[in-house]
Amino acid sequence: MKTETIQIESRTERLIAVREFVSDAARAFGFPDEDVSKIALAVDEACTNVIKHAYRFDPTKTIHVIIRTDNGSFQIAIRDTGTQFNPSQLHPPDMKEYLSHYRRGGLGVYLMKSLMDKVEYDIAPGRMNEVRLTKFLSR
Amino acid sequence: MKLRRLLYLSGAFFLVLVKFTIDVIGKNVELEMGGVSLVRELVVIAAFGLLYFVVDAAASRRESPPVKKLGFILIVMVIVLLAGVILLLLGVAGFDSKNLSLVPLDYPTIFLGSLIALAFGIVAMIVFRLLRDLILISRRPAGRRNYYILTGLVLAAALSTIMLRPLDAAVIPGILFGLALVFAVVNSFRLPWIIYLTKREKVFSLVYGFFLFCGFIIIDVMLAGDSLVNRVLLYYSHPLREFVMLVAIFATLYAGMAFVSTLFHLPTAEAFDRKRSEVSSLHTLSKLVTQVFDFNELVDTVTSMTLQVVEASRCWLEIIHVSGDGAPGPLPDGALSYRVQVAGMKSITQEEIDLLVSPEGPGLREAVMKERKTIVVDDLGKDSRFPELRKHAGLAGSMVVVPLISHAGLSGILYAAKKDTYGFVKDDVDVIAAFADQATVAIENSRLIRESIERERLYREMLVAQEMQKKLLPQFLPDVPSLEIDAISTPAFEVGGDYYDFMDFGDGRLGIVVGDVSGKGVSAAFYMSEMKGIFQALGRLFVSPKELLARANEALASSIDKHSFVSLLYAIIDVRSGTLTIARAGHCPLLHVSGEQAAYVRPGGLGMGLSRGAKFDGTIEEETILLKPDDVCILYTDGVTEARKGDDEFGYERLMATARAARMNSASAIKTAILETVKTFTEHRANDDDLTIVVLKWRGPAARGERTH
Amino acid sequence: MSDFKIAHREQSTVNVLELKGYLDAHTAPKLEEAFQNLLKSQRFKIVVNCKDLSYISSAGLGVFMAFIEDVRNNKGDIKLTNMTPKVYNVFDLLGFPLLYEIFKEEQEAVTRFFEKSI
Repeated sequence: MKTETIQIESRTERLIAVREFVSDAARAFGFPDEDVSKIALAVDEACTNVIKHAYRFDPTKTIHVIIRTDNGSFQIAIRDTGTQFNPSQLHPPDMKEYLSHYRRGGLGVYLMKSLMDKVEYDIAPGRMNEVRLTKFLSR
Repeated sequence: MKLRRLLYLSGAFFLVLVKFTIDVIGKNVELEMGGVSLVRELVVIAAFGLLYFVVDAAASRRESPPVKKLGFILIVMVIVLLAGVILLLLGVAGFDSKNLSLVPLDYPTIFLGSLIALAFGIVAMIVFRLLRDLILISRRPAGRRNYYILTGLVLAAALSTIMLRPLDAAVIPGILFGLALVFAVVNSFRLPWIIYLTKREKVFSLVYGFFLFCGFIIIDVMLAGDSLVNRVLLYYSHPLREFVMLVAIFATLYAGMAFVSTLFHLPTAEAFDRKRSEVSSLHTLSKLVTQVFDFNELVDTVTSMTLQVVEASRCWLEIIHVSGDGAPGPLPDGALSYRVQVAGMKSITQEEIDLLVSPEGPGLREAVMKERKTIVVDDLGKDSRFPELRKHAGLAGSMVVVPLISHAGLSGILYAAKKDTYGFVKDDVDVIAAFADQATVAIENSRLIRESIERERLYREMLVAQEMQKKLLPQFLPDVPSLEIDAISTPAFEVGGDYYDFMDFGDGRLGIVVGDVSGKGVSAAFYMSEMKGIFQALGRLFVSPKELLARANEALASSIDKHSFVSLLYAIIDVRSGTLTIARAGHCPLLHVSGEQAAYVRPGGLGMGLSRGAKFDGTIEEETILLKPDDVCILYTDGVTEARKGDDEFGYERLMATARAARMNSASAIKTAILETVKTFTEHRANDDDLTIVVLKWRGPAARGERTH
Repeated sequence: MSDFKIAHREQSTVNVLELKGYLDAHTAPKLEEAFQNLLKSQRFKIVVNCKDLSYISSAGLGVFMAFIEDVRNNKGDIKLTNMTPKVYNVFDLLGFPLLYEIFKEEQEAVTRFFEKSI
């Protein structure tokens, strides 16, 4: 098992650093380019959510991104200590309904679920929230 | 001192001159007046008084053995005899007797007479003084009393004639003389020194005694009757003559007794000599008891003395140990396995010893050990108890074998052999047995002292190791934000092989290592300290636990011995992100409690020190777990899981259950809970193995990694 | 924001926005600003050329979603062109092809505007 960690301040400016960090790791792990892109996007979405909802754009807050790889599974954990609880994180919108009503937001979650093999949440507002995204290397 | 003596001598000399002068004058002038006569006597007495002091001082200074004293007496006696003879030969005119007085007929008479008188007087004093030494050798109070009475009587008898004229006699002096003679007889039985003479000395004593007796008889004759010598003395000083007479008689009696006594002592001389030598040997041997610090010296003394005292030709000493744990010590009754060590031997070789006491053979040793009594073999060639010995009759004719038995058991065997058959008489056996007793005590003491010193040394070594070890374990728990830590390590024996340590990287990461060195005691502590060194040196260089363990293994594997290995668990926790990365080298798995769940994290890996290089590196896995806030991680050693109660072990399930139950509490409380549960389980028996527990409780992502203070 | 640029061109009444770089939560406000400017100046015919768009996340998509209603209510549209496969996949995942007209070439989109004269 290997682990890599990055932590960023809660600023959208830093999203590209996270995307690059994750892309490099995913590529090194052996994912084809399109999977690498998917993973990077999913992580982007997760982090964006944290910045927007959990931290409300507070730049003094920290987000931890931890990649764990083991035996063909590539897992990214995104952790924050935000106090806000975003229900839409748990229930992604129905796309049809969403599209028909032109709703904003909530897309990120839907994307994550579509892009990754597994999405898990651990919510403890004020203590630590975590979303874990997993993709398996198909061989 | 010398000055004083010189003074006395000069004084005496002066007085003698005075006397001489008076005598010379008195030859021609009638000095019958009582006063002058008295003065004359007093001068003599004074002179001899002074002379006595000189003689006494000289005699006191010289400490010579009795026989030498006898010899000296003989010498002076001969001198005086010769002097008397010369006087007679010279044919001086002599004296006329007139009114019970003596009148010298010529000057040579006076002169020579004075000289002779002086000679006799001085010799008499010397003899008396020497006889006193001989008599008082025994220092017994009765003896002293008798002697002082004699001295008193002699002096009284002599002085009582002070006013008598030379040829006069009186009742009181006569009675005193008689009494003095009686006590002379009494004192002549005082020959305590004869017993202690060696054979050689006894011969001398015999010879001297004889000649002294004869010589003094002659002197007695000379002093009796009308001989010139007697007259010379009487003229010079009546008291002096009495004194000399008494001393001569006394000397005669004493010499005679000495001769007879020595004669009768001769047959027993030999046995007595031996007895004495035994006694003195035992005395030396009893000093052995203090010779306990050098065991080899002790054994050497015992064997040499045995040889010497019983006149054995060969002697050796075996020490018996209870075998098995190899601990030296006496063999308690009934103990069957033992180890024999020949501690010392004289005039014999190991091969010869083996022939005489080898187990398949004669069985002397077995017999002694079984019966725990002395065995005497009077004739090796014919003893029915030990038929095997007949072959070895060439090595010894007779033997004595004595067990050394103390209250603690049989600690050794003393053997003595003689060339002749029936060589050991009863006395010899008793003596050897006495030696054996002494030797037992000494050997036992020697062993106890050595043990005590050893224990003392071990104890001090242990203290040092304990101190050392205390310093190796962390003195403080790291202060890291968002993390509660507590730890405890209790060694099984005085010193343990468990180890834990922390490395605070200062940026929110904390390294925790827990290790267990196989084995116990000082060597385990040593490896533990080496681990600490390696950890401290490499910890900051290798961020990945797996990497660190691999490098540490390299460093350790070259120095650890083949029979030891070290198991380690190294975890790095990042309190900012809540990740815990672990690598495990043969150690107990880390226990992770998260809410209701608990699991053992077991990345694979060999123990440290078992193999080097790629082989080891290949086996080490690294695992990262993501912690949730309030998660608890417990690192520990097998002292916890293997704590015993009878056949049952505390085990992993109980540990997990305890941790889960306590998980809501602080790290300290969790640690205490585990500790208490283990103790209760083992019913508070002391732990067989070192026990270490490190509890980590992560409180959630830390805002900043650095320490706040 | 140097990693995201928007170039604005006009082809008669059609406004072409050329996106360069990545469009994520950080850079999305820039696109939002551009749209707002367009709408303020009553330009409702918009073509977004994604030739040099290397990346898009839901933030960018959200911007489109935010303005599409308004634009269409004003008889205009936002048409998307020249997407790389990567970007197209993201749109596709969300079912955007149902909602937006996506063309391979910019010209096709522009022409489209003139086809529908209503």
